[in-house]
Amino acid sequence: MRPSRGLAAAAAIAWAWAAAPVLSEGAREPAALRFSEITSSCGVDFTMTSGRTPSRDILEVNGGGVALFDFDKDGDLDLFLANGATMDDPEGGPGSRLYANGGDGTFQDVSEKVGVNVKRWAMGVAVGDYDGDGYDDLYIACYGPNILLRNDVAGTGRFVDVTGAAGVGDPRWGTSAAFGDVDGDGDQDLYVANYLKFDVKNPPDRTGRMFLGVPVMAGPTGLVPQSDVLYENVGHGKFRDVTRPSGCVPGRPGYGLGVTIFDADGDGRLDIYVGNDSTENFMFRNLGRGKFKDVGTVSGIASNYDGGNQATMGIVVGDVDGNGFPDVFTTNFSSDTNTLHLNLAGKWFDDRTSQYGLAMTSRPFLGWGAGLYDFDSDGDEDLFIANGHVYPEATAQKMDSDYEQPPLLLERRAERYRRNSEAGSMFGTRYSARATAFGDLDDDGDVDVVMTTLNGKVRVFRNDAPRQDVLVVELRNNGGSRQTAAVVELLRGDTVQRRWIHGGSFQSVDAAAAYFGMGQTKGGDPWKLRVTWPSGKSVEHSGVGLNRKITVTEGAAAFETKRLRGR
Amino acid sequence: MLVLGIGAIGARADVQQERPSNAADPGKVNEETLAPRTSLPPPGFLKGCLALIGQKRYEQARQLLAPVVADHPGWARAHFYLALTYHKENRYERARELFQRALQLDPQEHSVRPFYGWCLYYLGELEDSREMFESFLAVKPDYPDAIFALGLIDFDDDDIDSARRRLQKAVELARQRQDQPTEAKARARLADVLIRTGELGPARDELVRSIELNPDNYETYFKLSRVLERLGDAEGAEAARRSHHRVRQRTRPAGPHRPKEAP
Repeated sequence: MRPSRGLAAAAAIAWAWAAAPVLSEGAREPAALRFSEITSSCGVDFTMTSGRTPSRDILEVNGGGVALFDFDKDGDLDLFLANGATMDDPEGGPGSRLYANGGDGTFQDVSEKVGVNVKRWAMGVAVGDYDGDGYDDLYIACYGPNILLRNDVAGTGRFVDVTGAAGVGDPRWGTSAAFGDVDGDGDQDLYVANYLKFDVKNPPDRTGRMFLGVPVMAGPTGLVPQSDVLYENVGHGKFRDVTRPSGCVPGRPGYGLGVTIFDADGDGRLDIYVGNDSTENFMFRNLGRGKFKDVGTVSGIASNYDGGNQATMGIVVGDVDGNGFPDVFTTNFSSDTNTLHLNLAGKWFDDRTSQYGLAMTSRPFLGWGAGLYDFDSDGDEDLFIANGHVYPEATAQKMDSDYEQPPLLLERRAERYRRNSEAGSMFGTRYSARATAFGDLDDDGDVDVVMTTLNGKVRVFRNDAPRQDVLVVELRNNGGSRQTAAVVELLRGDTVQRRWIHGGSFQSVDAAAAYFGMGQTKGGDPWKLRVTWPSGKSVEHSGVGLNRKITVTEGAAAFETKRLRGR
Repeated sequence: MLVLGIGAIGARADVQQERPSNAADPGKVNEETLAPRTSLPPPGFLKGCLALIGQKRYEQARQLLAPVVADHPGWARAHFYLALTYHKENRYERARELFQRALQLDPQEHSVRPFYGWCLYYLGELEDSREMFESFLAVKPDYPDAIFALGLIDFDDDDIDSARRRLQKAVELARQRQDQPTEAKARARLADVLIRTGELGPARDELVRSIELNPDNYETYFKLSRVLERLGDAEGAEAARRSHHRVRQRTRPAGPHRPKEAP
């Protein structure tokens, strides 16, 4: 069970759906993972740009991020693509894109219509309602000044660039960003992970840069890291840089690639985890009153089991061992392993990658975006990992790792993850994959995947696993916009399924929803739903019906429910 | 030095093995393709190559071995040594082909097996790796490094009891042989098992002993810092962290995603 947060829980609210189906008692067909590529039919016909092919400089290898969020509040997930540019003109790329979901998983490019006009080399994206108007805004981390787009769709029908007024236009190379109310004052603060100093007009010399005996591009090691920024939301549409006074200043600099905000120690305050490339990761523990302390090294999450500093592209948060505390899975370089840090009751992290079968099998792959979701709705969470090498010179012969690589689908079976290569043709297809975002695009209750590729097509994979009973819980804050950094639990007797809503993986944003499959549970007592908000307050609802999407709003006594498509 | 060095390659590095073997499996190898295309290199050629490998002069050894392997496609040991030049540079995919070929040409060339086993281990092919180590132990049952390797594979398979038994055995055998590097690394990995099972005090003791045996292994200091931190010895943990950084700087300068030295 989740530990006490030391704050008074909100009153439990009974909520029953008379018409809702009950958990079926009969035997079920065994769950099977199955994805189909629907890129060409869903309307997302877009090729990402990220410099040259093949890449020659480190600026060109990250690619752009993805966000799944409901910008127009019509109840479905829309799609934002942070697109790059070229070394010749990093300010004038083909532009980022916003696609509106037609409600059935088909998309239409509405970028021009709603004023998304970002030509700068964009990489990371964060989604949050910074001005509290109930509509989710976009923050885009770029090579060059980052951009804040205020969502004024309800007013002018457009997104408006408010970077200057908000004071968040960090001009350095930003890779990832995350919103979260880290000071607990009710509005969305912002953390930006910066990578390194890079000049397109004078890129670093490749001379002498080798990997496994092969000459490769320069960096990150040997280049100058750039420090990150924590912005405090001070209201009235403005932020201020509180990096130094807050204590978000690590002992050693890092090459920031990813950030996620969640309550790592269960004290009711949001902590900040930063994944750094080839340098120690940071864990800024929230001490309260706007103060933080980097406990990455002391807690054990700064590096892997033997002190190795890893590449740390993708970050995933979930309760893998079921102890009630959020564990952290990261994707890493080839000839290294991905890493699972189990959270030992909030104070320590321990590298338990091998315990779950995730270690040595990952060595041929260079991982990026990843997601921990119950793709087959059998009650436990599986892993999807996008892969692809950064070095165009990579071949299995030269580097034990190919340039293009298949994504990995790792199915949770009891206490181990097993590779499943039979769940769709994409798992036998090689891509230069990068970012991923996860969410239910077609509103049928299971988790679909969007995956970008470097200078290649955006891929959309629809989840076609056999139907199981499911429950989708979407979270909104008290302003009515998306809510992350929360925990959703589905409880019955001694059993609990727990989902951490933490934002997204590498440079990207997943749907702010918890996806529960019921494959392992039959009959018994009714389910209860518990949501623990970032503030530490929680609310319980009993009599939960299945095959519904429930929208829970912080502070609201009741919540919305609707039947999932086709169920 | 080669952790599995000349000693592991064993007594077969003799004059006789300076010549191609005829022991190839005729079912797998086309004899015609094995015919030498040039005369043999002078006696002592392979010993010289092995010495270069021992001195980490891999490229130099490769330049000598590659044309010989091309001209003498039936020479198992030449394939084996050429494989070692890649293996020691962590280029496992390239090494794998040559190890495999060496064993195919001479299945009695057992010295290949532990190297090939490690190669497969680092390629993430743990079942094949296990098979290779087990086949080596069938011939040389008390070889601590192979038992150590099986302990790691058990650990990765989450068979903690077996991992513990094997790592303890590897420690004991290495101690008997006064093979300090192997004893040190086996103790460090035994500590991983003990950390997993929550036995932090014994884990600390294994790590301290491992550092005594091999003070150059920076990873052990890091593990010790983690254990001391969890045991409440913050000061000791900080000292271990400082040692970790210091030894790492000295033994392994920073590099981008630089893999460790192959066993």
